[in-house]
Amino acid sequence: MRRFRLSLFVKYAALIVGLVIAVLVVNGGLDLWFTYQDTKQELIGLQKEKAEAAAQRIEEFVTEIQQQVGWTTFAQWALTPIEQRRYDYVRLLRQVPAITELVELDGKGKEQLKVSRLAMDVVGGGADHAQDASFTEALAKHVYFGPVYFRKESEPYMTMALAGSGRNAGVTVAEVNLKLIWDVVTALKVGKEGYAYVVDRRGRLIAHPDISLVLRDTDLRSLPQVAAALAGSGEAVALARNLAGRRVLSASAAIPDLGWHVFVEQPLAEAFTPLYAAALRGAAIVLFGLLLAGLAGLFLSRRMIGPIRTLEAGARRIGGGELDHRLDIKTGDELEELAGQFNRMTEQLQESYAGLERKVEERTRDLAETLEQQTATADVLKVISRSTFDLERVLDTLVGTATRLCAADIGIIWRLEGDVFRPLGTHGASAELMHAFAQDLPRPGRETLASRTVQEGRIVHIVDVLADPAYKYGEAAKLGGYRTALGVPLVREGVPFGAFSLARKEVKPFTDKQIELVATFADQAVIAIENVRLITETREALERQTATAEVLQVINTSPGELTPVFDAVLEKALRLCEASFGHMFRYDGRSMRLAASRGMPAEEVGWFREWVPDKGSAMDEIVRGAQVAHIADVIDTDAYRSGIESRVKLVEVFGARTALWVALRKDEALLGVIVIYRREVRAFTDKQISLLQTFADQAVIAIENVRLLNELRDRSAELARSVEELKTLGEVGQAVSSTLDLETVLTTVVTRAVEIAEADSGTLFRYSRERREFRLYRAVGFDETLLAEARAIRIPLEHSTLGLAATRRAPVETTALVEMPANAMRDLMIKAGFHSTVVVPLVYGERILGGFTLQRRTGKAFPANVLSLLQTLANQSAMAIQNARLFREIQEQSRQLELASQHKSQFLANMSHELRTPLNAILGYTEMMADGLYGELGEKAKGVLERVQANGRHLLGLINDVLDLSKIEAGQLKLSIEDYSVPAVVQQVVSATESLARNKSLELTSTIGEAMPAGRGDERRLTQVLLNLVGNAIKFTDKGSVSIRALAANGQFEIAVVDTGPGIKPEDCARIFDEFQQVDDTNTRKKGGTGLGLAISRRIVQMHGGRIEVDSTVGQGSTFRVIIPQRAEETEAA
Amino acid sequence: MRRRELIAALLGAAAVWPLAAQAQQAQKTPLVGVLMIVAEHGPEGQARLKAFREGLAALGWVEGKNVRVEYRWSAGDAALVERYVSELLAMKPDVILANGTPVIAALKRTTKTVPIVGVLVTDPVRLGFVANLARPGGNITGFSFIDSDLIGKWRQLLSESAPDTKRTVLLFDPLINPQYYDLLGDLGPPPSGAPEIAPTSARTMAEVEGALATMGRSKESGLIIPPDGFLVAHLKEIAALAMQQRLPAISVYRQFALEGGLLSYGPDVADIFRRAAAYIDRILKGARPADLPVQQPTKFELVINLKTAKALGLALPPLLLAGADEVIE
Repeated sequence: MRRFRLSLFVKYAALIVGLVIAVLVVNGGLDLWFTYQDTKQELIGLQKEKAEAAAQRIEEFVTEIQQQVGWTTFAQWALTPIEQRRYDYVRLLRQVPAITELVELDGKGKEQLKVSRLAMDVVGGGADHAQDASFTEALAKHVYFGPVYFRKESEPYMTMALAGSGRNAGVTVAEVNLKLIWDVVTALKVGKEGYAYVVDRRGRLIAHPDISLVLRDTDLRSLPQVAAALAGSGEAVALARNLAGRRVLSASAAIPDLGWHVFVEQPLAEAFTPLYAAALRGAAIVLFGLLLAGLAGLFLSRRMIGPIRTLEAGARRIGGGELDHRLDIKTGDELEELAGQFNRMTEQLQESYAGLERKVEERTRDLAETLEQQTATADVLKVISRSTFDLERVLDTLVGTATRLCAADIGIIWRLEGDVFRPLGTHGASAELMHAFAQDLPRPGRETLASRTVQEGRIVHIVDVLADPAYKYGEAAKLGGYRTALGVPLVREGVPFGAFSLARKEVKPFTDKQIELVATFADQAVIAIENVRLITETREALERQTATAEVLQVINTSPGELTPVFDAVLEKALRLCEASFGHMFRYDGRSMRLAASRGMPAEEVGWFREWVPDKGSAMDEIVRGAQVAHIADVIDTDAYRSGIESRVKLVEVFGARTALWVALRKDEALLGVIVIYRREVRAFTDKQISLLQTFADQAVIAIENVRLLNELRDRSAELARSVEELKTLGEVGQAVSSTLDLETVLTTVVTRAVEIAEADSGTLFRYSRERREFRLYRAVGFDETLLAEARAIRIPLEHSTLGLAATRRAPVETTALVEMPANAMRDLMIKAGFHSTVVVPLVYGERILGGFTLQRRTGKAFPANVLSLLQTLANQSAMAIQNARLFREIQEQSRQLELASQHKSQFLANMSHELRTPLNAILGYTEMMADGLYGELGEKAKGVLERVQANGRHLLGLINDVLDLSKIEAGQLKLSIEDYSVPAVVQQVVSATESLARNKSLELTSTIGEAMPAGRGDERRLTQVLLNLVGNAIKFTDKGSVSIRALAANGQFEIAVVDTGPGIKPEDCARIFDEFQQVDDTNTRKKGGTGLGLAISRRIVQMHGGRIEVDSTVGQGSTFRVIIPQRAEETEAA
Repeated sequence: MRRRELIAALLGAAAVWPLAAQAQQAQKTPLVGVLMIVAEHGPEGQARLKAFREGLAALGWVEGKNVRVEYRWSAGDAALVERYVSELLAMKPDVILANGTPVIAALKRTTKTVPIVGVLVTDPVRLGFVANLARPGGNITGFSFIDSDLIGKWRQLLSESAPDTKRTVLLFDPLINPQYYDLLGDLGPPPSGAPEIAPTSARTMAEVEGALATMGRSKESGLIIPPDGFLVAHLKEIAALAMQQRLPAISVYRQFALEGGLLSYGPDVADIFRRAAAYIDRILKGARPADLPVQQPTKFELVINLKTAKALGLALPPLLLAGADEVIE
């Protein structure tokens, strides 16, 4: 069949395809040939046009220049003054950008004037150009165009010379920049890869997009198209190869005046792209024909084999199971007959299938039943897991499902509670039946199904209750109408505690399968009941813990307060111990005092405010050492019978019956008691008693906390007082040492003295040596009038308390002012109401400076410790006064010094700047020489150059140092503060000085401490400092080692430079940091240096808020240490 | 149904095929590094940027589309030049446009392979950037800026506009541009009557101020501002200082005259940047810098600030004005 289809297809297809292709190929070939001829002609024409346009532009360019230059050739022009001629040349340059230079030659070829864009103009230069081609040719032919030449090796130029008219006329020579021609040529675009170029009359390339070809002076005469154009034969070569050997389409145009030719060329590959497209189209049409022919063949073969495929497809469907499918072929031949046979066979198959299906259906029904039971069981389990806490619902569901599945009518779950059985879940039982059961609940024995099941501890199956002689609930059975009953015991830990019972209203025994099912349901019921029991117990335990925790929280949140704690304790105790009201008492060794009360109206509490334990009472037992007292009914106590009102009221008014007392004890000592009451006679359980004890313990903790807290408070207050005193001393001391403002110091002293001594007023007097008298300087605690009066008084040295104290150089104290030497001040003080006073002298060395006094209105003496404190304050004040005087003197001297220093610094700054300018030039130049920018240098010259460089750098270093120092001194140097890393600084210095050390065979090492934090400061300046120290160390050390050690501690960096050099004498150690100081001996003279490095280093370190130290032993070496804060902010310029 | 699908697929393939053949293979977008000696903000920088972009656009390059350009502006700062050189080289650019002699010197030290188009280079042969102008031979080509003759031209223009000038001062940074000594050497001694030229260090504005103050005292001095990364960043201030000291001044930068300097004469910088774009184009299309000749400036511009001339009390000769391309009144 397949072979048949293939051969038919081939026959038809071959015929159609062959015909179509033949027609298309002939047509396409002809079309392509004509298109090729047309395109070629068109392209050459186009290129020719472009070449001519370019040639015309170039010609215009040259002609334009020729015309512009032309008017300088008039006879009259040569007669105008030279300045006018120069002016005209400048104008000409301005108008014609392509001219770079114009030269006027006189009739003898001598240069008269030269005007240039690029260089200085020259007037009357007089150079001789008589032999130049430009001169001779121009004179001969009037106009001369020179060959193209390259200025500065790469700029295309042409000399154009024009002879003047008239006798003995001169020549104007113009240098014309031809880059414009390059631009014209480069800008010319032919297609994508086409290009243009220009050759001169000798076939040399003078313009081409590839400038390097032009500059290489390429000769193009070897190209046939160029040769043809130069020959001027008129027969242009259109198809040729270019310099690169590519086939091109070429066209050209001539510039007759110059003898140049412009060529425009385009690679054939690109030029004929449209032709390729046409060829492609032809191929596409052939392909399409092929496709059509193929489709026609396909269609014809499809018509022939249609019915056979229908037959084949039908057989496949029936084989695949579609038995109701029938073949439909109406061809009226063997094929139709064959289809009929197929259809009959299919019908028989269909019938035998129907029988089989019926059997399968029956089996399926059986399976469904089993499935229903399993589904119901699963549903029950779901209900149980969803509603764990709703026991009744769970049990109802269980018993209901069991009843339904076992085809029973009534189901009840019983539980033995005490000595009766109570129903927990029911299904199908009428209200009357349940009522009847409630009236007479089953009791253990064999009389009922539930009790018998529990008694026997196994499944009980009564086929007919009315026929069972032992069954005593016949009435109920009649009421409920049930006959057959089944009971399954509910068992916990091997002990039956209830029954799962089912009953039917007809006599029909339960099958084994049903009994098994009920047993499973009974197990589920046990689990559900157990779950609920466990959860209830857990919840209660949790409640107790929560209460305890809450009380503890109250203790924590209200330190120092007992009431909220007691209230919380009582409240929880009442709730958890199921008591109605209660009290909390504190015991003071004799009686109990009420501390808290709950559950009783506030106005009634008064009765129990104080409670003296009666002999033999529960409270008495507690006082005697009992931990707990528990009375089942207080009516049975002596206390109640004693008739004391509060005890009677407790019972009769407030209804107390059962009572529980728990002691609050701390290490045997009784702190109080907590008591709770119930208004019914019901004993507290052990659990409740232990709970109340826990609460009692918490109350004890709270009481202890409060006691400790109070103690702590007292101690703190005491400490604060001593601290205050110390602070005063510190403050005054600080004021004295930190401020030189005398007034601030003295005011601080007096104010603080008054505060410490708890005086009512304080005064400060200054002593005048000339007048030998004291005058008031400061006063605290005086009103306006008193102050004014006191200020007016002069106190003589003699006959005054102040004088007495000053001469004794010790404080004088009295509690009765009236007893002191009489003077105006004493009288004023007495008038102001002061009684006691202390007078403290201010003495510095032998000098009396003044004194201060404190007064009190009461006659109370000042304690000894205050007196000694005042003496200290006085000494500090005396020092402050002295400091202030010295400071004033120093200030004046420094101001003068600073002025002088600033003048010097300014001078130095100016001078070093002047020096740096030429020095920078020398260094820049020598650097470039050394780099070989001015040609290779000989070894000797290199050596000399190195020395020049080394000395120059040294000199620059010196000048920079001087400039740095003068900047620092003039206050102009500012640090640029940023983050830096000490290891990086050290590394930088090591790599900069390594070669120096190596040259002297010194060992250079660096040790950096672990975990160095990032520093903050001026990294460049700090590097400068370290470089200076290490440089010095290497310079002065002749053998041994130089080591750098950096470490961080106490918020500071310490960087030490240790050498094994000659060392520094102790008397020199202090001087070396001064400007222009070196240790003065022959050795240092030999080493050189400015003596500024250390001075600058010190200033920089100081500006960082740090210091620099030296430590040295002569003959052993020196250690320079830089100590700076890790995070420096800029301090005042040093 | 299958038959129809087959026909559709065949027709579709026939339609798509020519398109697919035309579509070029996607290529990596080339990267051009641009390192300028001037500052980005400021008329000089913007003028250069504009001209360069025009040049690129004229050749069909669109930034961000078929070419990526990374710009760096060093504002005459030698340290920044060093940093940007390494930054740009790290990006592996296809070509770098390097503006300014110090910039090219820095690149020359760092790479021998990345093609570099130098723009406004002074004396490239003597400084060793190229073997010769026609055939640079290495990875550097470009556009030169001034030569020694132009210094003579400046002196001439200065003394023509201020005939009293006895001495001219050429400001420059001797550490970065010591080649001015060579140029002055090439220029030779002044012709009789022409003022001498004194090279003077100008590395900071303080130095410039100092130099101008000294000149201002002598009354017969003229000022020359040649190409220099530092000076071009401070043209306006220098023009103001020159006016303050009543000094006739000339600069290579057109901007100088626009900002109040007396004269500017020099190559048309914008024209050079446009031409530089053409070299970038050729290098991106495969040309080697070794084969591209170093080009000389072709257009020169003379700008005269008549306002400044008036303020300085100078009567400019017609000869000078006749040559001016722009006169600011």
